Amino acid sequence: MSYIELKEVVKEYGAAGEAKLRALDGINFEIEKGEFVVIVGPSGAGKTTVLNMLGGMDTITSGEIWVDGADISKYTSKQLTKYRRFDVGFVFQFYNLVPNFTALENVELANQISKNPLNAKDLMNEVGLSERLDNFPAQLSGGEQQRVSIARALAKNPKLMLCDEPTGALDYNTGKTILKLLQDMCREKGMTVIVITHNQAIAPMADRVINIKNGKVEKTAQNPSPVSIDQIEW
Amino acid sequence: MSLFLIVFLGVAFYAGIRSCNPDMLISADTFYDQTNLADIRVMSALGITQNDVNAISRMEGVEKAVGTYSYDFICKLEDKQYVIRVMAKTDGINDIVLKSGRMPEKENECLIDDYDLNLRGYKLGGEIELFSGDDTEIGDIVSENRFVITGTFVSSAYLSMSMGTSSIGSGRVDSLLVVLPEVFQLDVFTEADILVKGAKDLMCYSDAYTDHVKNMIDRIDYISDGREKIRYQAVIQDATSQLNDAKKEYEDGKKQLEDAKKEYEDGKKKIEDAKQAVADGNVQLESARAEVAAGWAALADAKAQYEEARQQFLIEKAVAEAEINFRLSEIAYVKSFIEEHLSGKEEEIAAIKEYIYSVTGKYIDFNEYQAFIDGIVNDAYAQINEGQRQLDAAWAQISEKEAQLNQAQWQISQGEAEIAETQKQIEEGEKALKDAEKEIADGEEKLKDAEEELDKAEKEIAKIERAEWYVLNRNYLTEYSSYRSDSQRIGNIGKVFPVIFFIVAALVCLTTMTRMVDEERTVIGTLKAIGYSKGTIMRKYLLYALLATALGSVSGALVGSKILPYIILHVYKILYPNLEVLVFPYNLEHCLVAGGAALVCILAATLFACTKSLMEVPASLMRPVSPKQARKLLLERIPSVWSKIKFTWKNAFRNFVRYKKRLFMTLFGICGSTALLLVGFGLKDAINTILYAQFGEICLYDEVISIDPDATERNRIELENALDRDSRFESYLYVHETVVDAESANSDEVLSVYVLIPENVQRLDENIILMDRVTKERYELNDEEVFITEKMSHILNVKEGDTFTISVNQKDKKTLRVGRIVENYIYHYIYMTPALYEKLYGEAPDFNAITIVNRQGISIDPDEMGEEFMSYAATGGVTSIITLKEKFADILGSLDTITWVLIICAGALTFVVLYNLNNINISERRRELATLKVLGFYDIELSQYIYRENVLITIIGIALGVLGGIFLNRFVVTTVEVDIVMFGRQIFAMSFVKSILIAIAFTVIVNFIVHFKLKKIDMATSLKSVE
Repeated sequence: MSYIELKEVVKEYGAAGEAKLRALDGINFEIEKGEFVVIVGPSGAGKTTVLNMLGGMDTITSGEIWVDGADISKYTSKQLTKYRRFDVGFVFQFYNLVPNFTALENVELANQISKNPLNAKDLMNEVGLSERLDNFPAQLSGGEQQRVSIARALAKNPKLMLCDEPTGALDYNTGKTILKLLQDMCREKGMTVIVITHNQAIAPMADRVINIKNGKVEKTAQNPSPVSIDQIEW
Repeated sequence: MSLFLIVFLGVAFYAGIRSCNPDMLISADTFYDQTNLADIRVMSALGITQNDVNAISRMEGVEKAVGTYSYDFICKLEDKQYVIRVMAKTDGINDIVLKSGRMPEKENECLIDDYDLNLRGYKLGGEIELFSGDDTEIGDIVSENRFVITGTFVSSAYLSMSMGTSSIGSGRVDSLLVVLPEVFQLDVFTEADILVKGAKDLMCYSDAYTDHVKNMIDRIDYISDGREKIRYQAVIQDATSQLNDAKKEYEDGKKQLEDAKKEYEDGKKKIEDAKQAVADGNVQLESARAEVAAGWAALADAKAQYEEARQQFLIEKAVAEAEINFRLSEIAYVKSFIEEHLSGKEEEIAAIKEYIYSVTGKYIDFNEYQAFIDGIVNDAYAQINEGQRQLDAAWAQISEKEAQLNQAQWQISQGEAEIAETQKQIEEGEKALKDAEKEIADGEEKLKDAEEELDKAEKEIAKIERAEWYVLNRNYLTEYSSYRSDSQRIGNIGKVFPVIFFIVAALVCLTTMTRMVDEERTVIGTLKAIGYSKGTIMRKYLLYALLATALGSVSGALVGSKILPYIILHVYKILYPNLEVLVFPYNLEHCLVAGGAALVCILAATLFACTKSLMEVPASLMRPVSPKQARKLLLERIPSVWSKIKFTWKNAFRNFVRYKKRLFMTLFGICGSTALLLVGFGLKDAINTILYAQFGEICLYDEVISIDPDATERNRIELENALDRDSRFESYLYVHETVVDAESANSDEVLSVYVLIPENVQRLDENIILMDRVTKERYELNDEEVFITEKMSHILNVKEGDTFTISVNQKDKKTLRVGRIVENYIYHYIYMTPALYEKLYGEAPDFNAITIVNRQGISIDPDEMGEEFMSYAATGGVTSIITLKEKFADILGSLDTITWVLIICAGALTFVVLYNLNNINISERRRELATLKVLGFYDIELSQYIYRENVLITIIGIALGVLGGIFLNRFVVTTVEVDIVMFGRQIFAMSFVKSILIAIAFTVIVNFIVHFKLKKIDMATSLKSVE
């Protein structure tokens, strides 16, 4: 069995009796441990919904989601919280840093709730922000904020990193550095990283590319020799 | 809509409460004017004459001056005495309002005040009997002492049931009667009532009115000097002539007494004589009795002798008769012998001769012999006859003596009866004498009294001073001034509470508007992008705010300034039942102030919010509000402290600085509600303090027996003995208690207070504790100064060492110096020693009441107590403190409602403010919270994240609220309390705990709701771009 496995996952929105919107219509895919995965698809294809399901932020209507040998679709909300807390690291499109905390404190925030956290300062060092520890998010650029966000996700030492359009709000170069950082982390720490994007161009850097369209997996492709982000241009 | 409601409430509350004070004053003024309540009253100890009244009438500026009468009497009803003030009906001044029945038409008809008809069970058509309250004959004052009640009235001079003081009875006027002026028999008026020209046009409680009247008073004072002199001379003359009459009368009386004494002496002598005669008679009678007794004894002897003599005589008679018979037979023999022997022998003759010889010794012939024998027989007969005669004589003697003795006996009994008769007469005489003696003694005593009285009268005449005119403004009417203070009290409350309410309303409006504008940023941005000018966009919001505020203000002002004064004035009508006129004019000033303030606040808020938004370029308006810049705290500059603070707390601290507006509003909400809660509970405490401190710590006595003024010394002793014997009582103390009016130069108010004088100063602390409220230090009375109660010192505005005056009905003024101010909550008291009283009034106080302390743990049923002790002649009335306590508990219980209103208001305020602000807090930080959720914060951790701030704010808010509450409570307590009571100033620890707990409870409830709101936050929002 694969590290992550989605089986016939269906997600419908809308209350009973009303016309239902089927966001996911039987998704199936597998991901192995330590892979750098890119999920691509056009807007409204259901990428974010997949991420939500995978991240334990929402429940599915039917199907199974197996992560590391457990079916999280059967989890209670409490178990889901634990799952998010200990197993998943999130990187958001809009960084979602707590504006009240300094960069370092934002990382420590995650640090605090984790079982075996990584050192916050070291992480800040790794993401290249050792100079800006005491700055508030509002004082940082978008790229810097996203790096803090990544550091925060890593701080929990998760099994799985979920990144929702991590470059969406960033310029080309900054986006590239962020993706590089993610790829490096994946390689160095052997972490499973799933990146959602509508940008087909970055697919070659992934170990596995999953194409989603209209709530269905259109195509999964394994990439035996992913290229470094530096070599990709779009 | 919510804007409208909030403005409506705020303005209504503000305008309404604010209007209460003027409305109350206007109502009173209208009533005063309608009933022509006198502006000035002139009184004098010597009365006011018609000439005085005429003199005043002629003065410039006097609209009308009328002389009138009023006099206090006693009325007895069901064993209790009441003081009734009888007033003459007047026309066009101090008019009364007929409430029921009809006006009196005859001299024996009266009206009674409306309040008393129900209270004391008088009936229309019923009769009321008056008694004099002092030594004046009732007939000298009024022509009738029984009146038929024809109706009831109210008078603007007596707004409430406290009708002032009196020099008789309990010292407190209980009821009022109005009778026709003709009823009064006095030569002079007791007072003159004056209406001042132009005074009606002025508001009665205003400075303008007071000055206007003051001006008139000064002028009347000016003429009073001359009038006083005239009156003085008239009175002195009158009194002197009366005195002379009295002196004459006294002399006559003295003469009469002397005559009576003489008569008495004569009578006494006569009786003495009679007594002597009786004694003599008795002696004579005694000797007569002895004589008679001796007579009887002699008679008995005589009878015995007579009997003996008779026996002797009978024997002698028999012997003599035998002799006679023998001689007769002998002679017959001799005769026959002779006849036989005549012719016979000599010898025989000789024999006979011998025989005769032997008999007679002589030789005689027969004839001689015959004669001899006859002689013997005759002798014998004579002898017998003699004896018989002697015996008869003796008997006759005896019989006579007996008759004599019987006569004597009868005479003696006759004498005895006579003496008894005399004795009886003597006794009667003595009795009469005794009566006469007593009469004389009485007469002497009376004479002595009369003498004393004459002396006194003489002295009094000497003492008669130029009776000063008391020219008084309306303040002498206790209700007049207390009504003003009550309305001021409402005014004071109106100054604070509506403002608080208003501020809250304004703040709520401000946030509402700000949020409304914030929420519509994008709309504004779009409008701006399309090309609308700033003004046009702003106009939309301003118009909305304006409309809501204007509508709310107008309707709030209309409704509030009618309804709230209506409710409050009707509540006050309970206190002032005789206030007939209630008017609620619109008070433009307060309406405008409230409405204007609301308008300005809200428009400013809208303007502020709008301009802030409108200043931005359309593009940035399209984007969400950029999060506020977080700032480092001062605290962070101290790393040693900062690094120790827990992570999430840091966030809370930073948030404080970041969302100042919200912080302050939350703080204000919690602080305000805690303060209100504290005021609510504090008010309850204040009320409770009254009961528990007054009846538990200050007044230790349990029963009061007032002494009947007619009670004799013996009656008193009887009562004392009963109290001594009764095992239920621990101790008792005689006190003098009376009501006087007190006033001081530092205050306008005239206060009706009790003067209390213990018979035994050392033992006062068994019954009443005189101590300082704060330090609890106990004081002992001295002979130089008086102690007064705390509330009284506030009202009169006097401190220790200051002086104030007391008087009864504006007469007999005395100046007293304040020694100590003592703790007391109900009524006002002046405490002094008997010695001081004597120094002031020249006579010892009359101890007219007994305070009794029950033995520990014993409480006596008031009815039982009353029944038991009313049977003693000395008892005038019995009051149980329990009853008093219950009465006060009832009165004060009504204040509980206010407390609950405060508590509920406070609760609502906390809830609304906290809920509203938390809502804003959550919606503003939705993204942040969602992120934290995604990061894997448990629900509880997330809630705590928000709670930390709330808890901190709550703690600070409560702390500030407690502080503010203490001040607010002090303010509220002093403003709401009525004149006769002082509320406790202390808030109990329990109340702090309770208000804090309730404030916390509200916070907890709100936080609980917040918890569920947080749970519902959708994590997916964190992923979306905002909007």
